Amino acid sequence: MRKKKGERWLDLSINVMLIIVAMISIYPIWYVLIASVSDPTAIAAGQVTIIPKGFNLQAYKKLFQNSMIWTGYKNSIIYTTAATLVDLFVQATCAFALSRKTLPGRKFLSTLFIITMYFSGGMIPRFIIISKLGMLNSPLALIIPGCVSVYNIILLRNFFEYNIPDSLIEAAQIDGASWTKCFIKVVLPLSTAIIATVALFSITSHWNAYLGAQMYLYDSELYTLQQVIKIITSEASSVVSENATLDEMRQMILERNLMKYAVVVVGSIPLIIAYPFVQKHFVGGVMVGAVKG
Amino acid sequence: MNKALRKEIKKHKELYIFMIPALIILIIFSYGPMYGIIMAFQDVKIGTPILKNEWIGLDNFARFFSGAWAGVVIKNTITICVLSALFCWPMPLILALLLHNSTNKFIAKTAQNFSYLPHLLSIVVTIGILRLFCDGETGLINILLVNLGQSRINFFGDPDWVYPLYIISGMWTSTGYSAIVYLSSLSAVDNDIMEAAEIDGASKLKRILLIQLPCIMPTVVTMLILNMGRLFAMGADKMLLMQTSLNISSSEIISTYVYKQGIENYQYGFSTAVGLFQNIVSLILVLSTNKISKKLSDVSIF
Repeated sequence: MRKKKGERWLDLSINVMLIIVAMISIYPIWYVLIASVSDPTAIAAGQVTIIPKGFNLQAYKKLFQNSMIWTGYKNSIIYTTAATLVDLFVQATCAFALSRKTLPGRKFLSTLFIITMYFSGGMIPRFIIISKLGMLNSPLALIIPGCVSVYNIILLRNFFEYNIPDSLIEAAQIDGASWTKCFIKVVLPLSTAIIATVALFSITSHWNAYLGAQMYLYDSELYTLQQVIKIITSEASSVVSENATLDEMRQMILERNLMKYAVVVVGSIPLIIAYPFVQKHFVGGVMVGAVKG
Repeated sequence: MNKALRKEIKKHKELYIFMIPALIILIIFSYGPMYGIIMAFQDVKIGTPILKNEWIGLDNFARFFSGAWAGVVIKNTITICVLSALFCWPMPLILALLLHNSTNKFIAKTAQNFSYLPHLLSIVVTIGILRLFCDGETGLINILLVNLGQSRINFFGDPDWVYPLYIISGMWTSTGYSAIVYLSSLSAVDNDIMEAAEIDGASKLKRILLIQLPCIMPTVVTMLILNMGRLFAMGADKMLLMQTSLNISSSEIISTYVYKQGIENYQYGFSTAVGLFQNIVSLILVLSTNKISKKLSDVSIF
């Protein structure tokens, strides 16, 4: 069937708008990337817009000489790994128990969890409890208190309840398998997709978290990558130095700004590299949450 | 009966053990703070056991509402809620309609993948990028303004720019991600209706506006209403990163105020009271909007 003229225009404008959306989404990230490898004077003159100009890696050289970045990277990797493992263990076991319809008190226990999605004691009482438990200035404050994500537990519970046939579990139990055995031998092998999704949610949220680290960690040795990025990107862009000429000062400002571009790139690269491999699970998880949440 | 129940509990003993870690954490770190709410009614002295503090009734609340900041932080919080709802909410819907109706699979796929990339960036990185773009000297926006013969704008030094920057960066972060929900409900729109309309001569634009849009309207309204309640509970991190001493009159919101009074100034009783006020208002919003959305989706006119 031949398309009408008006329809062709509509199709064209839809595609043009989508191209614009794609560009708006990616351009700020792209600009930061090209600016970080460009000549700072060219940036200030507005000559860097689409491709880098005066390509150099000065900013990265300087950035990687800064030991804070390495400490931040190391800490973030350790905290994120530990927190994700704790999250998965606590959430998956709890979700499995809640997914069994025969469990006495299931409704009450579920409600206990769901209430906390809607009402909380607030930032300050929580802070006081965490500090009373001696977790101030300890990475434990980022790992333990937040490991019960009710949203993730619901995702897991729904999967265990609806996507794994009860008959499989019953059959295993008739064969004499305990609940633990059922969980490890029957349920977990069939749930890799949802576990990958939840792990992904955990990893991104721990890697990206900022305020918690800011509240609980004081020692610069313990800082996460996000804290380090915050420190570097919010350094004042003015320099006061008595011996420097105006031109030298301007140069220093420009170089410091270049560092900011570089640190933003360094901070976002792990997730952007991982993204193509994980985006299927990411989208899948949102769908599951939307349909049955 | 009782015996049967006991037998059932025994049969599920292992499952209760499974729940122990999560329950302990939940009780300590979610229900513990709820108990801590009593500090809102106390004059908290650091180092005193919680029940030994002096009870002062509603004094903390009175101090907040009669103070100079109450009006400012409540106004800022509400304004941002309403602006976010007005401007951020239609974007994912429009994007989902565009993606769903695109004739070019490659463009649609690329646009979709790019559009939720910003969601993966941390809030520190997002605001870092925003600050670099808006930098007074070397930011791209000011360079372009100067090249166009305009004067520079000090984005982060001007209270008037706080709301636009907050909303625009929010749109950039969340549009692609929020569109996913609408896309899945669009794919559930009955193909038969679409084909029948096409045979009857309805143009594509008409099919989009008169069939697809009404079909997903319940989802759209529900999302808007549900988010309204959650919006009010707005966290402190993004605003804390955007604040400067020059824009504080627009950028101080309830949660940033609680953070400063509690964590930085050790006013535990006072800041717990302010936080409690925010939590109660957002709970009321969530519950009442939940009710409205239930009514709307059940008795929906579409």
